[in-house]
Amino acid sequence: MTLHLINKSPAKSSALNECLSVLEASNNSSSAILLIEDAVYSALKHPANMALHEKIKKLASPCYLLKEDLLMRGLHAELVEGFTIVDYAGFVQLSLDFKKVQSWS
Amino acid sequence: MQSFTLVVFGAPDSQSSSTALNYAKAVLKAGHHIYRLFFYQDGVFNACSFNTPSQDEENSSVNWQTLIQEHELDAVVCVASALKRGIVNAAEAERYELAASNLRQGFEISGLGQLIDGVIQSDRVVNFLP
Repeated sequence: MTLHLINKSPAKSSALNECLSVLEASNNSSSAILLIEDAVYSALKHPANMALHEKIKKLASPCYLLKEDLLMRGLHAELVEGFTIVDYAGFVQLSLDFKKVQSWS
Repeated sequence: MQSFTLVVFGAPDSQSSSTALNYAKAVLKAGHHIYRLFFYQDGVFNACSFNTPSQDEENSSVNWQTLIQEHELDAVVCVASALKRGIVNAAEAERYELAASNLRQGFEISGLGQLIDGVIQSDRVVNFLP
């Protein structure tokens, strides 16, 4: 139904955590999350991200990462499993696959 | 073919402005239509013709302008956001008796109504937050 777009690092913003809580509470499996810009740090294999990854694992919604932003930050080799990587063409297609795109700040 | 309205909140030196630009290019490459680009809040700095970054830096304003002119896109700059940040066209400069105007060619100053129209007319609206 909705593609949730997040662009902030989990260290600086609680956007992803709040978005996950909303999806969890609404029991919504027809939505997805796309992490772009500094939000790709959320997929880093790091103890600070463990709670987020647990929440994502429990969720039925798929979680995507923007390839260009991962490569720019050199993170592609240090990711936890469970994320799907898309490029800008995939980003555009995801926006069409879902009815709405909701940006979080 | 689907239609998009993109809302650009980020200044030229922010990543969100270049994310929006890359996204716009990908939309057009996929054969879709951009109904409107709406530059809001600090995003209006992309429409300033006085931006002069160092030569080894990207000039985001010029990159936007090139895309807008190449594809004849409708690029609207929010008037309230623009005026308070000192971005004016010739008409506004005259009205407020300012020394010069600085709206970059290809951009047009208008109101929030144009954003509402974009929301109504487009299949998708994507906000690129700062």
